[in-house]
Amino acid sequence: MALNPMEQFEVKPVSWAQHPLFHIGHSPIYFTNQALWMIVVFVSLSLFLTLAVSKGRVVPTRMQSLAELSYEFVGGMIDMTSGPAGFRFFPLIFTIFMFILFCNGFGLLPIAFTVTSQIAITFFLTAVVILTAIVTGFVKHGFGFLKLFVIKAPVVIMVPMVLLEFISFCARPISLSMRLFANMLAGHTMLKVMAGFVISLGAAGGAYTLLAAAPEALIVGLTALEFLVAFLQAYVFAILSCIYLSEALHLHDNH
Amino acid sequence: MLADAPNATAGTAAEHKSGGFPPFDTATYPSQLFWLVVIFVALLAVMWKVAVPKIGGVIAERKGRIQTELAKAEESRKQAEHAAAAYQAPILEARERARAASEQTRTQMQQEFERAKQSADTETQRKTTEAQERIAALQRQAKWHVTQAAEDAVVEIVNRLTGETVSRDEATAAVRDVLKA
Repeated sequence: MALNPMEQFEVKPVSWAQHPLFHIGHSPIYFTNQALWMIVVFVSLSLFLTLAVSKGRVVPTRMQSLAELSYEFVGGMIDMTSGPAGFRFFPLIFTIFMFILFCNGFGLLPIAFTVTSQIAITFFLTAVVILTAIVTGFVKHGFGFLKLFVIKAPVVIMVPMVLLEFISFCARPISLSMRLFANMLAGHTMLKVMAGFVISLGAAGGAYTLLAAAPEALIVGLTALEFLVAFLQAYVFAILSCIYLSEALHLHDNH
Repeated sequence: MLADAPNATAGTAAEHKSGGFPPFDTATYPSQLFWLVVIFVALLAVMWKVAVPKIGGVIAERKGRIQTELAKAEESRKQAEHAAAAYQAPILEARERARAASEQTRTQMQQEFERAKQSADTETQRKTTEAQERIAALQRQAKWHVTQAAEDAVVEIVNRLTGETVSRDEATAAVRDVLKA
């Protein structure tokens, strides 16, 4: 049996739809395992966040409490980073946070595909945030938005600082997308490697079979850690998005 | 695009199975991005138009409800305080009235007592004076009788001893002399 820990990250057509659905330009579009799990995320999120509150109970059920908790959690993030003005981005941040959270969460199911372990996905989400920030900045401040790169200091310091600020701004999309992608990739790879050890040791027989308990125990611990990472990375992505959007709204000084 | 084979039955990733790093397999990007755009836009629409207003509405409604209930509770508390005050007022008033009444009665009784004592004192004084006057009168009378008896005795004694008859006036003078001595 091939125990390639990278195999789990392969985006491939589902077994019952091997042919491309259609082409965009010359690119074939398949119905992939990733698409399937994105749909699972979409459906469960939509049902969860609409059905749980459909009755609008004053005394909430558990599900409604969870939905309200998510809402107020994201609200708290926006309020903390950019104040009341930031609430125009609420639907966007809320969608990104819940989408990443659910993708990460479903990715922890043993059979599931982890949508956020793909750089294409995380980079697209990052692009949405950064482009929203840039468009907001220029719409709100015009070319004054470029003051984002200027720091009040003597010219000798200011010139290299502008350069540094510009580099840091350009590095944002990379760091934001890489952080989520690498975290999910590393966690799942580690779990798969440990699982491979369990299988190899178990198959070796004799005393090795007993040794298999060690990586098995490690998997249990790592899985718990991965639950934390799944939430934490969704939170980090959302709060950094909030900070970038807040900068576009308020620039440096009046925040 | 690498995967632009009309009949890629093994899937896009299958062509890169030999040692490729799956997330960097650009052949899968069109499928990835297509589904991501479709699903993300759909999700954004559902959140923006349905879920967010709904959840926000529920939370706002609850906050409003709590505020209203709190205001109502405050109103009720004020009413209760008013009612308690209204209940206490007549009691205090009645107590005050009772105190005033008892005070008045006490004063009245005191006055009556004083008056009675005064009249009793006056009466006693009068009676004492009367009695003293009567005693004095009786004393004078007794004295007079004794003098008369002494005078009679003088007249009788002189008559027996000397056989002379002494006039009443002489006897009187003699007795007066003796009494003066």
